[in-house]
Amino acid sequence: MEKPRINPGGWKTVNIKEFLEKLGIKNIKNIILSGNEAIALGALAAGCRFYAGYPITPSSEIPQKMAEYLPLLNGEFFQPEDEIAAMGMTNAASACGIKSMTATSGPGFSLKQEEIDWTINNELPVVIIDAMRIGPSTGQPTKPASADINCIINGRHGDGGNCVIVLSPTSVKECFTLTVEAFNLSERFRTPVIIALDGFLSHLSQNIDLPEEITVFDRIYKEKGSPFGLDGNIASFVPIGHGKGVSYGGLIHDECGNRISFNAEIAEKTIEHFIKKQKSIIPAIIKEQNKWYNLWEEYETDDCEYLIAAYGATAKAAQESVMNLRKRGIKIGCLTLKMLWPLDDKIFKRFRYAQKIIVAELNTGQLVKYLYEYFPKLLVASFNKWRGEPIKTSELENFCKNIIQEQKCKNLAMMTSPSIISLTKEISPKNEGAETYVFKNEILEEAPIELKGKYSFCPGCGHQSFSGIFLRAAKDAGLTTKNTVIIAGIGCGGIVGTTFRADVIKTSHGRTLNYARAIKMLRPDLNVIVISGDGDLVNIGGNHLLHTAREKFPITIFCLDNKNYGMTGGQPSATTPSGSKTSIFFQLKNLFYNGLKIIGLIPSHSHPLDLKKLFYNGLDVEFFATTTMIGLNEIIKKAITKSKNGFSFVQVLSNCTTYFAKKNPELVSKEILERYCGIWERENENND
Amino acid sequence: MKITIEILGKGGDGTQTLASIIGEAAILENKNFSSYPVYDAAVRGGASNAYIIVSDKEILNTVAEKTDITIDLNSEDENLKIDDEFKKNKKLLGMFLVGAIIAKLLKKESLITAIKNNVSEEYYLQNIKAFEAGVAAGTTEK
Repeated sequence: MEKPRINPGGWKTVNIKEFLEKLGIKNIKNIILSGNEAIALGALAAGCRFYAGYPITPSSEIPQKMAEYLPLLNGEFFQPEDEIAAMGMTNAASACGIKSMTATSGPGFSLKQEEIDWTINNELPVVIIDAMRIGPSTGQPTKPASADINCIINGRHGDGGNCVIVLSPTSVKECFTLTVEAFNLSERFRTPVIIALDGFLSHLSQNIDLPEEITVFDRIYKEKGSPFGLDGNIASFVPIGHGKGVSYGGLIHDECGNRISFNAEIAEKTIEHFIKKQKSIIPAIIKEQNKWYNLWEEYETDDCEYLIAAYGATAKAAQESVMNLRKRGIKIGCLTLKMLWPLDDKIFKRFRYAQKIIVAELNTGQLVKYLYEYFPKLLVASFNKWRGEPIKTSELENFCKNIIQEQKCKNLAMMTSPSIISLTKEISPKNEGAETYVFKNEILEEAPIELKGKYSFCPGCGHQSFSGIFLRAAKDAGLTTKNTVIIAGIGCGGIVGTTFRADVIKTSHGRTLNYARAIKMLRPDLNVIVISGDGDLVNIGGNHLLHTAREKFPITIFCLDNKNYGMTGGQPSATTPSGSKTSIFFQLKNLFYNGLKIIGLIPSHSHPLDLKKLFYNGLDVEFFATTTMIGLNEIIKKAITKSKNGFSFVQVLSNCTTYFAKKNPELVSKEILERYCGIWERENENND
Repeated sequence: MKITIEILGKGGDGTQTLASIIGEAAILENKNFSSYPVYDAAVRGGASNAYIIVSDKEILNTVAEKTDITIDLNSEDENLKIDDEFKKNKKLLGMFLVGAIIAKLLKKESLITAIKNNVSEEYYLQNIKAFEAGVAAGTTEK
């Protein structure tokens, strides 16, 4: 894919007939589509050009369609090793300025949560489809439910973790329309939009007419301004890979993107930004009403005494029940919620006079708990079904009849007003104790990468030496602020990259390679450099590392291998040599192996991974080197050059002077370390 | 007219293809159509049913209430005389039953067009033969 042109953003129209002709679809009227197919077409029409996803029932037809159509539109499709990688790649594509989407089901959604929190923190527009099925864990994979509502809205850790938008289509046609709207909302408000897709709709087929024309919103890009929002405002977007020195990451950050790990005011300000942003979404939509699809559809509500509130496929049962009950003279109406989160009193206040609010859901009652904030609990009746079967009109209709007959509650004269959090406190921004880099939103002069801030590593730490040697070698290898993206992980090794004045992505723990791969796919012109530690790359990120090597991705990885987890206190990692002393004291244990009683260490810590054997001998990678700081300069240059042809991995033996090296001086002597050193590359097998 | 059709079968029997065929034929006659599968996790041999609604009006709730017509590939319809060659092959049995039952509801020509669009060329003639036999058996139903 060519370097994406940055457009200033805003609304535009797309002619659906012309667009679908590019995909070989000639008809837009009276065509049969399943919900999954309609979602794929809606995403593409809205401008989605990147899809990464792991197959899972009942969402699997979405990736199938995306894989078929994306190449025709010069887009990228990728099926990575797991759900977490898929979400990371979707984030990375969005950071490049490309509209991206992933789809999954409940079990996969649980895995994605960590990365979705990262998306929220970085205010990146992405769309996630959760085709919901019944049960905890694997449940009944083919049976539908709306059972993930709670986890979609509030399943992530940390305050601000619910700064997302949740949509719920009610029909196949709305699978198309609301997917377009999901992209528009995510681009407009710079936040992930999750489509809580009733699993029933995934496989429902209907004949539908697609709209002739849709309106599409592209994220706002201005030449000036900070990359992140403040005080609930939506900032203009700054993409990775355009030489602006923008930095994305999981830590709390100020509006310039500086990582702030030790400042109470910025922490408070950031959390409040997310809450204010979330609270501002519905008022903004109501203000721009003519631009948006009707997200709160009312049916027969003008004179209604009773109200059914429903969403997903259940909303159709609700509408049909209203139709039937009206024929019997019952004044009942229906409110269809197509946006489940955020919620706002503006949507509900006019129904507060109703005799009874019936909330119909295909679960044990998840959204109803959020509605108690807007309606007195006594007035609410909850209709629920959790059998893995959709709701029949007759079932809901009978329930309504009974409720209306039994209705003895009088309209409460005293209505409790909902408690809406109001944040009025003024906060004067202060930046003390933080990084001092001021993001200017200017394209940096094409220059070698330099340090932008200082970070104090422990005295004698190998990482500090690596940082200096890397910057010198990178300069010689031709890496500049314009042609390079640095991907950093978590831990001591992850800090190194974030001190550079360059485009930097600091990912969640272990997820560096997902971002690296997506960026390389979308921007092959860039040098993608991963710098992280052994715990991040080999332990928690081991699966991604294995698969990136197998896929022979042309990226360079510097694994700052200090043989332990330095930042958390010296616990053993996958490269810790057998028998060495770490902060975890092993008791000798009786282990049973093939019926024989043997005495040994806890096995997970007693057999270190030989990275050279694994990657060079096992996976045929292009370049592998193990090195100390001596000779590192040349190896860095070589690794960067070799990565043009394939996977290039450098294991940098870096001493942890606080933990590992201090406790095991005999294992880090020059003579011992040099035993492991070497360069193994494909053309020159002499060293092997 | 609003008719709910239920197709009962096992994974690999072609029940979902039958649903597509009925759907395509229905929209050729400007009728509205909806269909959803109810199936087990196994690819082959598990239950694989389809619930179809064909209607002149807009279909609001697509969830089937009661079924008007059943095409059951699991058990034999005693009212129909089915040739052994179709009984042996569930896919052909399906075509036979569509001919015998659905051709009374939708036009024969629409169904043939839909079969053509949903069945590979290699098996087309075989399927049409089963369909036509079904149509004939349907008209002489006991």
